[in-house]
Amino acid sequence: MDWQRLIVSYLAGFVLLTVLLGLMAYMTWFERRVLARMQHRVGPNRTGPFGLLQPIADGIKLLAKEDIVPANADRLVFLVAPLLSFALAPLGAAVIPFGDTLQLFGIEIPLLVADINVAVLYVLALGSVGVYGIILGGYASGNRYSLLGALRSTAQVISYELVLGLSLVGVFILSGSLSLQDILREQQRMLVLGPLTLPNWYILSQPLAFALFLIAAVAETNRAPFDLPEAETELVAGYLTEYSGFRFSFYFLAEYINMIVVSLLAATLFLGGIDGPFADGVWWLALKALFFLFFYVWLRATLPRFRYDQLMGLAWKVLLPLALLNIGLTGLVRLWGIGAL
Amino acid sequence: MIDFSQPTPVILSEVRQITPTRRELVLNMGPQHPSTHGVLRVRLTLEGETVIACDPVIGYLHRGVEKLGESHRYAQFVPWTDRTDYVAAPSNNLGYVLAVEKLCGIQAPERAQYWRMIMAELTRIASHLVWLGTHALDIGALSVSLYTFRDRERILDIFEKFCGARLTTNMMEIGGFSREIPPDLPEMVREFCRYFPKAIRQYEDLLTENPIWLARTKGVGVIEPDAAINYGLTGACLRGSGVNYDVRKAMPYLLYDRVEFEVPLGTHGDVYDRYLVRIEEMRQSLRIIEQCLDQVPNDGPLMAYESPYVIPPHKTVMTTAEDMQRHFIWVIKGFSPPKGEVYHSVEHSKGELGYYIVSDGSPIPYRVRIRTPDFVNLQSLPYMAQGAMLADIVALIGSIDIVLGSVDR
Amino acid sequence: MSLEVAVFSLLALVSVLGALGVVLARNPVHSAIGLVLSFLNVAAIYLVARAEFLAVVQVIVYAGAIIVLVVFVTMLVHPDDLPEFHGRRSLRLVTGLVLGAALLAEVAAAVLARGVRGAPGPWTDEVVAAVGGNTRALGQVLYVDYTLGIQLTALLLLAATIAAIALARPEAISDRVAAARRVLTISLAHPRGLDQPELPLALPGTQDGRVKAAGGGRPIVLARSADEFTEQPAWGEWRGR
Repeated sequence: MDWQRLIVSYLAGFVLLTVLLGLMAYMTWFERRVLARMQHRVGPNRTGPFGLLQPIADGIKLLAKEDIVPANADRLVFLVAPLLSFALAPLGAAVIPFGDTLQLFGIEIPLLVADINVAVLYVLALGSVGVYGIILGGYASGNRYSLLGALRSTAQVISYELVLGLSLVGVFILSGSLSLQDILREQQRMLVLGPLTLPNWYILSQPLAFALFLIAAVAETNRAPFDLPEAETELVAGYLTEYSGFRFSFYFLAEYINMIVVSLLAATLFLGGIDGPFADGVWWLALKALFFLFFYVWLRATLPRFRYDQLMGLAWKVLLPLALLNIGLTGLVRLWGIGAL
Repeated sequence: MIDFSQPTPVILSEVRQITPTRRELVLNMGPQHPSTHGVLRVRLTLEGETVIACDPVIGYLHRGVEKLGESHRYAQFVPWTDRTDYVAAPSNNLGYVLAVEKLCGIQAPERAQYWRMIMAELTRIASHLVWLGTHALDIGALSVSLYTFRDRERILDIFEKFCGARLTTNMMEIGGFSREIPPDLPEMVREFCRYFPKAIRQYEDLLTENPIWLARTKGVGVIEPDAAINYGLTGACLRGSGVNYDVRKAMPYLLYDRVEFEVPLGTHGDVYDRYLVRIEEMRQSLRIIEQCLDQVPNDGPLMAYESPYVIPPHKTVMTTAEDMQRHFIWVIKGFSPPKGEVYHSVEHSKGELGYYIVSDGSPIPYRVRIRTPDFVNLQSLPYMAQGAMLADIVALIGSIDIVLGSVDR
Repeated sequence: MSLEVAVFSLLALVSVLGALGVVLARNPVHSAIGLVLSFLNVAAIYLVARAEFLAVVQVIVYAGAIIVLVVFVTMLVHPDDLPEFHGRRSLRLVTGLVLGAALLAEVAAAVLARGVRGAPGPWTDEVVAAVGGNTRALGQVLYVDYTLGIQLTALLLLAATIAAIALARPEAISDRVAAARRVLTISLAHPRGLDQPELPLALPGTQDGRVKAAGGGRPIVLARSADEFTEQPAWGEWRGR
């Protein structure tokens, strides 16, 4: 039993969790500022320089709010559901490679909390179990409309989960592995396309899969334009209605952590993660993930919302066939050995 | 008989079993709701996600404006008209003032008519900007609402320069305008006319060809032209279905027959067509404003002082005894218009706004009836909502363009 | 005892507790939660046995899809539509005990007879490692040796999906009956009204108005005068546009 590696792993996980929580808080700041700028406004700029203390102020406010539990709510499940969402959200980041090993005090520390050889499936599994946070939240509110909203939200998530998984099969075919380390290694090789020598990032060889992944990721995280189940202007506000104060903030923050994890994942799977010119490093990964986060906010500022049936129709009638087509094409490409790989 | 001593039980929602496999849910939306544009209550009967019946309940903003008209003098009533449709106050003023002028036989001078037209068209643009912002916001395009309100600020600045107020302007007076137009106002309006086409292009870039917007608004809320006529719809709701009726063309008032403009008509009668019609109306309004600015005389009388029913000019009030007496009586007692009844309608941004005034010869009208376009247009909501999905109701309410102050008065 | 055995015991205990929760809970949703807990722990047990692909698939399929389905059904079905048990309580108790005892006997027999079975199969640890891991080995067996089985299962699932969609289609909301008559909408400002039997041909037509392509594939007709009219299709045809 390699106790040393176990402890190193735990410590790495702890550090990652702290960093992720900090990022999540400042993601809210980032979104508010960028959204405001796109809407010809300023965004928070009073609390601290450039409004940087705003997330802290929001956190204090939410903590100080009264904790209201509806009378006919299922108390235990009401308590557990938001915690479930919040707890599952950062687990996906455990498999993302942040770099090669680091030499510290003579111990080799891999910049990866867990190197699982079914890493991508693990992330999909987390997504599958994550729907329970929504279902149980809606059920525990004791309110018929929250329940219906939760069920609709869940149906949306599981439909797009399917698209998400299938869009990645192309990547698996090309890399031959489910492990993120292997996928990263494959992307660090060079792809020769005629006169150009480009890094073998999967956005170049799997553009359709990239587009599908991005759309599915936005729908998975319940963000605009797929946020009908939680939009304020709609009739049923969904599973969040009865939650107030810090319980609400668990759901809200879980959504942001999901966004960050998905962005990191997209950067690793399609844009080569830590790969970059001059030197590999975690800053490249951060830059790429930041681009995806900006894209999320951009979508929210620009696009109107899909109606629920249009949303589901899009997943099942458009995206799923496209994902299957992508798998077919990738399989054929691999079979005929096209491309100097 | 209704027993008024007991409060009527309000059923907020119930489930009804129709057949062994079909179940209906009665759901209550509002009166406090982010998307009902005010205090509108809508009772929906749903089967699954489809709306079977829709029953709007109004009256939450009723303030008895028409009753107040029976106890206020003619000139005193003008501020009350502001508060009916508060996003397009000058148009409301205009309707009332034109009705009173028709009753008394007053013809406002040409310069005043041109400025009234300019202000009315600016109001139309301002009202349509509010409509576009809130409609887009309901469907989820957050940024459009902020852009439209940003541009509306320019129009409100023009109003402020003209009459001192932004929202409840009390702008039009019986006979014309009693104060001189600020000299830099025409340039300010021209500046706006130069800027605004760019803003319309910005909104259209975000919405008109957007597949999500098209999916949410095309084919939703169709109303056939004969149904529209039967319901008495006017404005963009009627013209979206292809019926060519615009009061400015049909029964021209002010100087609308001297300016060239076109009336947009839709072809499908759905929410998308009403959207296209209103966007085009904004462009046509700009055209009218530019022509008016070209045609308006730079100086000239602004008030029809020759009429005995109009307030005497400030200068002679301060210098002659006769006019001072007339002014005193006009303000304190009011003028007594001829006996009779009159109906005059104007093309308000939401449709045909009509004022029916019955005068019994006294300074206080016997009856002031306001035929507001939203009140009548709202009637078509149950018809359009049948067979629509739940998420379409907010789009429908937005596309009818109601302001509850105008619906309830 | 070694760490592995300790961990396994803990996981097995929680798994059994979860299963007990399924049976003993009063609320069907609590039962479902218990079952999820049980499945997650079983997935962890697979991990302990170094079958990581199976563990993840267990979570995705069982915990993440099947129980979600069960929860959906529990929440959407009206209590009145649930099936009722018609036997007496004692009959139910006896049936449960008998079936439970039979199942237990089966499992016990399988466990105890383990020593009677022959040698383990061809997929030993070294062979699996040589192929390149669990996932690859599984893939090879499934898609090379048992291809036909996979295809047939897929067809079966497809048939089930189509059947589910066909069964779940909603009843059509009845359409409004449309009368078919040609409607010519004339301008309301025109002194002639809709009650006139014949309209003179001198009315200006839509060629006086411009038709402008306004976006989204839709035209907008710009009318110059109050006398223009647009031809409208029959009432029944409007809805189909």
